[in-house]
Amino acid sequence: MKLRTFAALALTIPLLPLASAQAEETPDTSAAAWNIALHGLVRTGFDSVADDERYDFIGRYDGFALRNARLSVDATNPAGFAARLSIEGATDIESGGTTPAGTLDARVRDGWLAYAPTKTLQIRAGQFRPGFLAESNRDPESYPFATASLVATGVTLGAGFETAGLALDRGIGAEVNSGTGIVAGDLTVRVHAGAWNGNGANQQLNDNPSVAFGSRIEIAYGELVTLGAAGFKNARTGGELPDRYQESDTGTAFDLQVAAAGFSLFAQAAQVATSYETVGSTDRLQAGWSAEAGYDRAVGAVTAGLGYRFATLDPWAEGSDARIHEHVTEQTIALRLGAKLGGLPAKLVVEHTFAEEFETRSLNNDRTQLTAVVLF
Amino acid sequence: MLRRTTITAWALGLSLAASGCSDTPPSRSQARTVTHRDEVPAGPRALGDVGDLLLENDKVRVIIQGPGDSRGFGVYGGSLIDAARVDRNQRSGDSSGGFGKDQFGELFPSFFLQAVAVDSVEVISTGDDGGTARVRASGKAGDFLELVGYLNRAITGSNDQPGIATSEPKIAYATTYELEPGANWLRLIFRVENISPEPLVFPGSAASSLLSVIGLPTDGFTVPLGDVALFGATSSLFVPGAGFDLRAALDRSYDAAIDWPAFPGVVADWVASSGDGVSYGMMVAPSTDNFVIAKQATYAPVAPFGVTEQSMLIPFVTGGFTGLFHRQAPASLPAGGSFEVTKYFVIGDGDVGSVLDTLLPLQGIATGEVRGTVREALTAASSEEVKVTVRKRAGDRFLPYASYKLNDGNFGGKLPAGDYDAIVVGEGRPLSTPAPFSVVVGKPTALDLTAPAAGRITVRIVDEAGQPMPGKATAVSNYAVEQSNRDPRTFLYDRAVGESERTTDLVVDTEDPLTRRYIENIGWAQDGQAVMLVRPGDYTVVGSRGPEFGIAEATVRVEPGATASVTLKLSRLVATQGWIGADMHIHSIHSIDAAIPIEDRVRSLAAEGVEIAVSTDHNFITDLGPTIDQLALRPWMTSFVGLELTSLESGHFNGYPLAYKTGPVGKGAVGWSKRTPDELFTALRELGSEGSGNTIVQVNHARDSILGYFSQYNRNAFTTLENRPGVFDRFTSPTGPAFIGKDNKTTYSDNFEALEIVNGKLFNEIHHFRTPSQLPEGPQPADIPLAGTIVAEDNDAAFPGVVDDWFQLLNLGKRYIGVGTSDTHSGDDEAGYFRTMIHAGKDDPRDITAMDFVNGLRSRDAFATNGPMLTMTVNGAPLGTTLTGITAPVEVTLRVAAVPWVKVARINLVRNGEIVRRFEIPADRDLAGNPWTETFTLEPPLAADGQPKDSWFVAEAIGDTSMFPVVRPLGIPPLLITDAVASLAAPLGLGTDEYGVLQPPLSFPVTAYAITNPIWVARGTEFAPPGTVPLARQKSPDNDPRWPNPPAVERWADRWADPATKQKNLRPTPIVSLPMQSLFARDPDHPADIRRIFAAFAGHAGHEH
Repeated sequence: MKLRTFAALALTIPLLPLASAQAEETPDTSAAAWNIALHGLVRTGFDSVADDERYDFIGRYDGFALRNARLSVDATNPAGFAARLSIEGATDIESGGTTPAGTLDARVRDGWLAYAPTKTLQIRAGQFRPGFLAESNRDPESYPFATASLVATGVTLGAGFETAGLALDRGIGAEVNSGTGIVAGDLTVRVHAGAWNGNGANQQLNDNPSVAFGSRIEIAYGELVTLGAAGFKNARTGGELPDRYQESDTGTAFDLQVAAAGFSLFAQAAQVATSYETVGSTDRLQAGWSAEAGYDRAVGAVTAGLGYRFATLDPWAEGSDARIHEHVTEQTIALRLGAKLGGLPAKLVVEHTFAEEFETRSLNNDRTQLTAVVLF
Repeated sequence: MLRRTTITAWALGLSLAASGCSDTPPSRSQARTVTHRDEVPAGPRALGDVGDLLLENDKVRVIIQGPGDSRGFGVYGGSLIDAARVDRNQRSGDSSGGFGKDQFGELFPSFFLQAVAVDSVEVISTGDDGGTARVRASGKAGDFLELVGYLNRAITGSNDQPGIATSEPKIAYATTYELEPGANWLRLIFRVENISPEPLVFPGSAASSLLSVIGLPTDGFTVPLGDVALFGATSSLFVPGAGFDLRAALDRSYDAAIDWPAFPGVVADWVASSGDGVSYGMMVAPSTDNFVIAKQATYAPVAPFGVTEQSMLIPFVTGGFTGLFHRQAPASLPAGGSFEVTKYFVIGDGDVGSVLDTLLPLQGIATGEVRGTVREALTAASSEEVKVTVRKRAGDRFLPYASYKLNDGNFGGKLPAGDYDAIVVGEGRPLSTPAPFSVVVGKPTALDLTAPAAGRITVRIVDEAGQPMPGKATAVSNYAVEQSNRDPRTFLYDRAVGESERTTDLVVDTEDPLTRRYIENIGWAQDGQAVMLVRPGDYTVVGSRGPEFGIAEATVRVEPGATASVTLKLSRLVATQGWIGADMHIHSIHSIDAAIPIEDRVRSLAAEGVEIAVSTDHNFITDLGPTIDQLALRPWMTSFVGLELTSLESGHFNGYPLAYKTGPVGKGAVGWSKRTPDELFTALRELGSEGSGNTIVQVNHARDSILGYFSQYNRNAFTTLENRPGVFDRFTSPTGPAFIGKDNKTTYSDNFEALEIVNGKLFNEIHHFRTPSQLPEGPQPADIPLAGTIVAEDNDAAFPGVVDDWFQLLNLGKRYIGVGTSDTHSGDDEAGYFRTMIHAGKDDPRDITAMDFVNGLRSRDAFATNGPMLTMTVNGAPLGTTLTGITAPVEVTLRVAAVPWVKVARINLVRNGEIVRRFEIPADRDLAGNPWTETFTLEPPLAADGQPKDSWFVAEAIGDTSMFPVVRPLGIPPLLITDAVASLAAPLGLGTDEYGVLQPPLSFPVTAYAITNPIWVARGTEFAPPGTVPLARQKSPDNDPRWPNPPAVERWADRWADPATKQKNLRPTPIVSLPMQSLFARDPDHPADIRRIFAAFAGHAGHEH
């Protein structure tokens, strides 16, 4: 067993006594029948990006968008076994940086097996998103905005100079987590610790003999406040023989969520440091943070809300003085409506984003986006 | 849903409080220092690295290398080394390189032939203000070629003492590279500044004195400035008027009468290239000091489209270097004064047309536009795999002017007003009928063209068991008898419009169609399947797999648009158990002068039966191994990593096996500039993957003029010692620290291990050239040595050969491993011809380790061959053995086996550098089924005192018959600047090349040759070197190996369009005795033997190294 893998799993060992100390119920192992639940969602929308006069790849390719078309199957067993298979029918297979050369395709998103011997201990393996950014862990139906923040997704195709975000992609691996959480009075602690290949989703093989490992911990006080912290380390190998090169990413993230009386606040900060072992380039630091505020109120059968988000991403916070101009900031204001349509939860979000680049890379690329999501 | 405008207005109101308004600035250019590898352009020629300077905007990205040694093929940093279009389809770079596709080699300015030793490269303006981004490279005079260093400093006056490169500089140079926002071109401003306290005159006073002493008039001589551009083999150079065949245009220009002080060359207002995904172009700003316009009376008659203040002269293209002269220096420059030359470098998106779309407006030329479509003749579908060459009327001819690639069947671009025609060109297709059209300024012209259908041949190559295997398919046809003995460029293919060359058999044409054959195309089958596109017609498809296999043939008729299929079964006819064939000199796309992709290179090696491939790109380390794995060729071949450490003047040296380093741009390649041979050899050894002690250092093509180690270090061909330096050698020989040590002695080192005794098709460098039994038509010297005698001058061979060098080195006890290699650069110079057969004791390449390879070579149980399998034993001992205590006569056994298409005519047994036995092989002998073997006894040789002495033995096998079509003849002779110089000398009444036709032929069919490594026989316990053979005996016809002397095929007579010129050059006129004070006298004591300089430099202009 690699040392790193051992270390990742060892993070969970101190929690095991805590977990077992809980007066949790033991799972019913008598029933052998599986419960199969089919669910999914469709998120579609419309994007309108301002046309920048100087760059013909900005604002020219907007229009209707299919953001998600997901079908998921959850299988659970009273013995504590579970499985999920989630297929996304609108995965971007992008081949272009500034041209609409990408297509949508169907890909597996989640595909994992789990065993939970107790309510506070789950072991799962397969493909899933490692816990890092809290924003990435949100359920689609709870997205407060039409799209994820700049920190998570970066600047996307057609919206500006394409820039990668800090969110971790799904990966094939294994983790130990605290299941529904370790409750201690009003506090609930949720922990994830795992290892994965670190070369992204739907990869046939690992990129190198090493695995990435990471962990996330959340402490929640009821449903009022949740404080989270996460970290990961991933030694990557890129390129093709004979030019294989080694790089390492180390990520840290913190987040805070407060929700009460319809008001919500969310803030996150993350950074990823990259070292270049083979080439010997200066280490790079990517950093970003975002803050959201919102208010939602039920008005009859409809829930209406307003939201504001500030996000900033600096792809070269350190590592190149000449690339400080790649810093991007966005401010988003959103109006959201939720309701049941035919018994199915649905939400409509309309938002406008003011994008601001560094002076020398300033663009005319503000955008308006609309997203409608229906869950089933 | 709320209307977008309403939302926008509402949101805008909010945003005013949040962020305020900002004006939209224009798109920007930027100049900055590269801090991460992902910022540089990628591509096969990409050499940018951290620390270099990047110029970029939304269209293009360019790298200016930082100070230091050039990472390209030049000498100094500060050059433009990478240039790419912004690739919209690529997001970003990574650690292995940036994004974009750079195909450009290097560009640097020159003042006459002097370069700039750049010591500072800096950002002058970042472009953050929205304006032009600028980078400046500055420095003092530098020697691009040391051997013309004195001449350069004398002519330019760049230094206080022309004879001392490090003397006080008088001139400062600077190139400012400017990139405007939104532009796909750069402006280059080359500045020459007089930093001395006194005025400078051009040419310098030292040069004027020098030239007047040797009788050359200096009136009217103006010093040209220009550029040296290395477009790289992956960029096809295009010149208006010459099209893609600049080589032929230069030939014609050298034959034209150009009066001194002008230089011969091709005149054009721009040059451009065509390549995969990117193309380049160069032009100059108009100036009344334009070099060409200042001599318009000379150049106007030879400039197909006239001369302007923007014209350039292309005096040479050699080894990837394109020389461009376009400005003349002023007569004088006051102290502190300066002048500037402005040039433009355009980056297109893959064809010449895209370059012209930018270049013509920059030149201020009013244009119209041509737009067209190309459809297939048979199907009317849009064509894709063709290009369109546009020719412009020039008098009563149409000459190439532009070339376009297709985009969904469409092409087009800007053209000046005029009459044109358009031709569709494609692989495997006949040329379309020229379609005339006219262009009017400001108006579009539409064209609908039809692409003639190609033909296709699919070939399945199998072994005797019917299993697919690697092999080569060659499509051979023959041309009509009416075309007999004509220049094939006039009827068989047109390189000017972009067709590929078709190699002919290079035998005298007769009624027999077998004397009128040519190769239409070849295909390599990695898995038994090969596909060739061919022009419709009748073909003989020849299958082969190297010199251990026979060939198989099938005839096919290929109809337009149709596919003909054949299966060819190849049989292994020559057994080589225990022997492995290795090629230790291989180039691919990572060399500036090679365009063949790695995959094709590996296929070509497997197809020729090479079992050990050592990649040796110029100053770049390549690993073929992963590609061998990807193509599933491991059962057939293996590879080791090597490097050709390529200096400009010290020679070329291979090292292997080496380690491959992913991180550095050159993958571990080291610099060569100003390093002595010992330092180069040590540097190569330190790269070894098995340790420095197990790294083979090999000297390549040692007699290849300026690229040859022995030639450059002035080694006498008969004694191996350094030739006595002439009084004025300091004017004409390299004298820098790489050549002359601090003790004022040569830095020549014999600390290498292997010697490339045969290289590819450099047959003229195998043996010292001897007078043949018959000479072709043409000028002959008055004094011709007897047939079979070495042509010598001043106690040195006039045309030395490495095998004979090696013999004398063996006589002095130097046990260099004799190796044969192909030095293959393209698909036309076949991999594995030559190769070194190594007795490794194993037959499966997968079992060969690096140390097996090294030890096998070091055992010297090896022979070099391009066909014959030649072995020898002495007293039963194999090659490489040192027999000791031998006092009795020795028993020598020779054996040669060969496949039927490899004809061996004779075997020579060489002892101590002299031929002691000759054997004739009957022409009808089946050397595959019945190898020739001869055993005989030899008495020991006697020294002058009558005592027996130690001896070594080498055997060589020589054939007289062409190996066409498996091995192509060397058809197009290399371009010699002696041609230019000779034509330059003619108007001055100085005659032509002094040797005339008494020199090795430079175009010939390739015949069989093999040579073994030695076996040493010592009387005592150690071998006592016998010493060099006395000069008279070396020269004697008794030692004539009787090299093949095929009938001369004067195909190239048609290049002399002028009948008088043709007659003059063909007439066997004796050379007049040249005056001693002539510029062109061949005299080592003469102050400036310019012809020897240029001939030495460009001796292999058409033969890449």
